Amino acid sequence: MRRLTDPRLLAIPQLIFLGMFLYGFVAITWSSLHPEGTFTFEIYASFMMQRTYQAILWRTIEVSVWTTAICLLLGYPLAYFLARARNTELLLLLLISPWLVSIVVRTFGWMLLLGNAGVINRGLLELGIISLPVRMMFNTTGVIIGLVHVLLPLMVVCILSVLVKSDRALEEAAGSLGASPVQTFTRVIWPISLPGVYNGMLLVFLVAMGAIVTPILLGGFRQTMVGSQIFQEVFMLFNFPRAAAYAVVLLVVSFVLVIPILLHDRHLRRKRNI
Amino acid sequence: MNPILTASKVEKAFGSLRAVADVSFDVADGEFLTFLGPSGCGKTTMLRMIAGFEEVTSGRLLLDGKDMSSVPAYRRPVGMVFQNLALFPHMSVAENVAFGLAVKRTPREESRKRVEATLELVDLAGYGGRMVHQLSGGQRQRVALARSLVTAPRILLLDEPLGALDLKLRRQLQLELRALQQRTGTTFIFVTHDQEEAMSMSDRIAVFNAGRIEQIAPPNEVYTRPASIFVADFVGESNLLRGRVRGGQIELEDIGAAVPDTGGRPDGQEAWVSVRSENISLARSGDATDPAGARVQMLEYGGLHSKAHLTTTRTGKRLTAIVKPSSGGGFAVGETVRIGLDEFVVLDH
Repeated sequence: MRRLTDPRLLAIPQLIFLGMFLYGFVAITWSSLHPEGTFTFEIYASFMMQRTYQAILWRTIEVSVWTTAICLLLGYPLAYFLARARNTELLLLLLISPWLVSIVVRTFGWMLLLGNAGVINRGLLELGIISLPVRMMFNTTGVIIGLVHVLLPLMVVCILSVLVKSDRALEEAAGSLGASPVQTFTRVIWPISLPGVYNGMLLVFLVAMGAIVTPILLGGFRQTMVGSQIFQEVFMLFNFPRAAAYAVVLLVVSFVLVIPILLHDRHLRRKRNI
Repeated sequence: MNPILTASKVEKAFGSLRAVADVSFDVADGEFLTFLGPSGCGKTTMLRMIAGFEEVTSGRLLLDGKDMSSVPAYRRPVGMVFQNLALFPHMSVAENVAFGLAVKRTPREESRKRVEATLELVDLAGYGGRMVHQLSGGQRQRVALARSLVTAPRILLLDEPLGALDLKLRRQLQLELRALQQRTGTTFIFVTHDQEEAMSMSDRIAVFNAGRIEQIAPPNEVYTRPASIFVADFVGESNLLRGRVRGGQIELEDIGAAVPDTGGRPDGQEAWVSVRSENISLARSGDATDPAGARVQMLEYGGLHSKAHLTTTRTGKRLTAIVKPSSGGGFAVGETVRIGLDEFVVLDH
């Protein structure tokens, strides 16, 4: 007789969600392989043949890689500074506060800033620094800027969570053994924070790969990413099977690309008994 | 011989708090010096200034005659073993120990040999491949030691490294540390609040109190000739009797007796007599009106010896006396005994 307080019962909601996700995944895979009722690899074949489809995928990967790299470059120093600040919690709150505003509203804000007649361009034109407006919207640059803005706090939080737990005495120990500040960073601080860095990279990369709102608003529909393309296929072209195929490709490619990080992260955790 | 380290009027202030005030001392090459004192007395701050992790507010620190004030910690030939060891969790034992050599870009073969030799020195031969989390407390201790010693520092600083270990392990490591220090000839500066630890390991002890050094001397001198009430009280168990000088004698009201004053103190001046618990002799009295008498309040049993807690009949002053089973076994609680002083020290402050 199973008691109502059996902890294994807590797994049931998780299993339901997992089941729904798997059902959804199976359903869209089915749809992508049966565009008109009969089984065919047509859609996937056309992906591999035609340049436009490949371009969409490459663009998505390119944007995601750039976004992840910039988030890491900006986010690490930020996390390092926050970890050592006296009012870490307050600064963390400030960092997260943009998330309180809807992503659509924020991205519209970027449109105001980045457009050809936007604040940045008008300022630069009036100062005479440029003679023609710099194209920062409806191209990958604008999308990267928007995504970095949204995902930077995520990277910072991931790295911060590891830096905050690490022992300050480790840096002094390294110093007592003759390591300069640079050596202390490369040999002690950076390797120890690596699991946090991997976490951040994984999250930022995967969210960027599947992003929809920012690519639509800042990238437009002429040069789409997979996310905005799926939106277009579903709501404007009503081609559900092709949208489904894009989704499957996105899932598989994203997973394959992050395998190296997953493997090394698992290796590190095993070795360090984390 | 020139001292390896000289501290000259060193001060350290954190805002208005003076953690270290006007401290001066020399350390001889190859010496085992211990900074001893209660929590917050400035001993760790002093250690960290020698290491270079705290800036000296005023005064000078000279290492081998060279002023250290402009030298950052990582350029000083000084190693440190931290209280919580601070072993690198992402490295193996061998990598931890090799760190100081890797940082100097020591060739791999030489590094490997020195690491092996140092691991043998601390009795951890063959443990190179283990990760830190696989080691016991005592083993981690030895890794921390090996890591600091492999670079052959001029001075090794140890900040209460044995605090987290159980008593038996602590005693064992105390002996090992002392032996290691003698074998390598490295100068050790050791910080602890445990006076027994300090006495068993050191060549000299510097007793810290509220940012100042009250006495710096070999253990037996600190014990038998404490320079102040604080030292007498902190090191070992002692009883403090207040006395007043009269006619070349110091009159002790508590035990209705007087001891000769060899310091030529003026009449009427206050002086203190410090007596170690083992230097109080007890004799049968039975006379409750004896001015030199005390009542046995409690007998505390111990392995080697027992302690008698007494209150003097004249003033109610509390005293502690060590009672050896052979001679003093016969005293009972409630009994009145006669107090005698075998050895004592006269202190003015």
